Amino acid sequence: MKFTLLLLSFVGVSSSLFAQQKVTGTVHSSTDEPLVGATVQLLNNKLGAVTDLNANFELDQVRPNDRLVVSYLGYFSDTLPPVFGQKMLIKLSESDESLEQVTVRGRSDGVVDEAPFLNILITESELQKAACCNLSESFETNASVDVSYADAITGTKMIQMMGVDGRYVQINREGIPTIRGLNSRLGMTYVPGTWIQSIDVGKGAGTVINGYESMTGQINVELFKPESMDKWYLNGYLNSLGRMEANANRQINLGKKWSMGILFHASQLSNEVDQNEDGFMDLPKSRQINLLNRYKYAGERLMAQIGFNVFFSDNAGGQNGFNFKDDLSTSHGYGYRMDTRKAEVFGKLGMIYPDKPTQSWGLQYSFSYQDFIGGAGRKLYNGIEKTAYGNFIYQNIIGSSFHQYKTGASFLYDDFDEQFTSNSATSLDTTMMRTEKVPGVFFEYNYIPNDNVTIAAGARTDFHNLFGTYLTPRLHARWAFTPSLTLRGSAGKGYRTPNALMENSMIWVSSRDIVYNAILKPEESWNMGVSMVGNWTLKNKPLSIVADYFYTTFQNQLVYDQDFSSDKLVIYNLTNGSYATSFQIEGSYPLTDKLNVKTAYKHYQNLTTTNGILQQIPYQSQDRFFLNLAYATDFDKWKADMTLNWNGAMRLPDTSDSPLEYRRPSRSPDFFLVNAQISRGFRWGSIYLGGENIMNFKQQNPIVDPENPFGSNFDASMTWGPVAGRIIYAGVRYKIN
Amino acid sequence: MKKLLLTCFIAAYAFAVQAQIKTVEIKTSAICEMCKKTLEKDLTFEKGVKSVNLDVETKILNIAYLDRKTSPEILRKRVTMVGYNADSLKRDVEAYNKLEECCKDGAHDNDLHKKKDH
Repeated sequence: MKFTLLLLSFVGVSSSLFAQQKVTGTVHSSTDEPLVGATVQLLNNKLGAVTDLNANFELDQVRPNDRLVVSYLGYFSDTLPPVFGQKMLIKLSESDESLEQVTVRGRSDGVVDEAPFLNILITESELQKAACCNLSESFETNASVDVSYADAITGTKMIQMMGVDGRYVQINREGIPTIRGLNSRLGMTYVPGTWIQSIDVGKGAGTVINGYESMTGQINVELFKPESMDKWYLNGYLNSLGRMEANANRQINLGKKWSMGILFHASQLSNEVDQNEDGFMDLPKSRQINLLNRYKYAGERLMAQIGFNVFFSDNAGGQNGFNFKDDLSTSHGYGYRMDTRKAEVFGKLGMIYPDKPTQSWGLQYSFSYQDFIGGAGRKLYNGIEKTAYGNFIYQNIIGSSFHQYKTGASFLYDDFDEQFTSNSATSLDTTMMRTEKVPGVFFEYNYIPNDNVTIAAGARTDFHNLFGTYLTPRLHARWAFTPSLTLRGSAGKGYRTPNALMENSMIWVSSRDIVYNAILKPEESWNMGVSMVGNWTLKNKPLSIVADYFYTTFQNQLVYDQDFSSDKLVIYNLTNGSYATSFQIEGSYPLTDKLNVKTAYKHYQNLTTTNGILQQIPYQSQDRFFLNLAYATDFDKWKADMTLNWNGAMRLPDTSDSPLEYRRPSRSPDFFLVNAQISRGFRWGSIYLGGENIMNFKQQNPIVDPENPFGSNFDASMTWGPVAGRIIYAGVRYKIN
Repeated sequence: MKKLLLTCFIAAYAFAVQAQIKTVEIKTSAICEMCKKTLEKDLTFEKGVKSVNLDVETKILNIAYLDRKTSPEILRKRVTMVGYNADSLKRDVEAYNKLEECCKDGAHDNDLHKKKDH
């Protein structure tokens, strides 16, 4: 039996209109018989409907990011994104399996079929496969986002997508660009894992609606919302390094139209962890308090949301004994500090028209203040970023729903004030100040002639007060040319302003002099890609294979050159070529009803001209292999997961000019990392036990010359693998509805 | 040798567990897919329950359970606490009131396939 699903029309799921809207539709069998009494439920929500006498259903309060789970006894269930403004025609295929296998589970994650973009959804259930502390660790069971290690002191994990550094990926929180500016390196650690409801990973230049910054990809993080939260969600976590976490989410209804959610996170690591006994903590001591309070108003036509987020985060690392309160400039030992505080007000306002369901408008806004005080050794850093952002989006159709468009205007105010003091005669001392004011307009047209084709063409123009006019065209196309094969193509331009000091925080922990030979210009790139998604039924089980190829070329880039000299980091604007290609093939198949296997192979090439040579960027595995085994019994009573990552050898920065004993090889070895977790569900929640880096693989001697941290050969930035070894963790999740 | 012993031990244990699994059929007042999900999910997490399946057409809930850990009486009682009648036991009214609208009495009276049944 075929596992097919037909929709009358499609919309892009990365649509950032957020107003909750009504979805109507009808559920039929593959032979066009109306299915009466089929259930239609929202994936992350308790809301649900049952089809009536005429097989019709109606669901209120559906957001574009929701997923409908449609099921009927004796038929394959399916999960699909909502379509607004017209009646959905959903077809379910008959199942010839026995009845037990028709439990409502749906395809909970994977490529979103109907989107014109190559978009991969990570659901809450997928996120819980690896109980993680924050957003930077949320991609463990996902093959499209790679995680790497910044250095041997700050404990920072960085992401890469399609072989390109994560700073070229636009990371949004509910459609609002959030992890950017001074936060582009550290920002993901300030999004607690227990707050995340789902993550959308889009490969290739994204929609123009959210701005010009998605140069190679777009990640959208949805946090828990008052309408979809449990009354209480409590989580406690403890790991073998001594890290402790307490998380609490609370939902309260305030009358008929108002609801409120509180998300709270507190964590600390007060132990000094130095497993390799080099006198340096493998990761810094840390403490963080993070609070988000959000309110939601749902009227007949008007929807409004407002939220407040404040957090405090302190890190103290470096040589053993260095403490939170110690002063870097006078400290006897070598220390690392990064203290940051942020306050933010954000929200949305949206209007729908019950008599004209295809029409709506929305406004997203955010105002934030964040400061950073930190540094390493004698280098001191101070930074303040003030941001105001607004984005107005209007959506309608032209004549019929074959032609849909979204248009609007945005404004970004971004003020930076940074100071860097190296306390060295040869390195950089600087004050960097700038205020960006960027009004912009955009238009995106969607042509949906039939259920097999979607074309999204968009363009935006932004008027940057410092760098002139940005023109950002983007094109996305999707063609399902057979029921099982979908071809997608995309091309688009992107821009961003680099923040050289923060983006090189791993160089702070080295004796390298920072040499800044650049005029600040926006980084500018073109990204193009093609992908093929295949869905087949093999022995009555869904086999899915995704292959994609992306090409990114930079017209301007701020090059961070570590090859010029082993005692320098030279920063300059791109003079010669810089480009990246990536190829990925990924397959997923349930070996049994309970055991799913997902595997991927990735090949990257990312060439940038450093030290006058066009060469592979350092610290990047050109070849990677990924394997995930996921076992789950009904209703996730028992769940077990194992993920294996093979990281191919990486090029390391040239150290041939160092004294012999401090030279490093030109390439790292390849290595395996294995993570696993087992959890047991109960009516009230679950308990879990897991391990990261179970094979206890560590980079030997991650720090060059650790005995002389203030000397001229010290370098903790030459890190290609894990510094801390195996971590065992356990936790409990408790929910009250 | 160690491995062999372990295998024997596991086999023996599995056999011992196997021997105690019994099944019970409980006639419920479930009426739709939503009821099926609600009941199956709840009973999955009941102590001693190995597997659960509800046939919506016949309204019969089939439960495999460990004899040593629970009993048909306890399971029937649990079904009533979820909000459904269980054989001759009446449902808990408070639990019933909390059920989804589609699981309430008469919610599917106008459905086509129900009429065919009559």
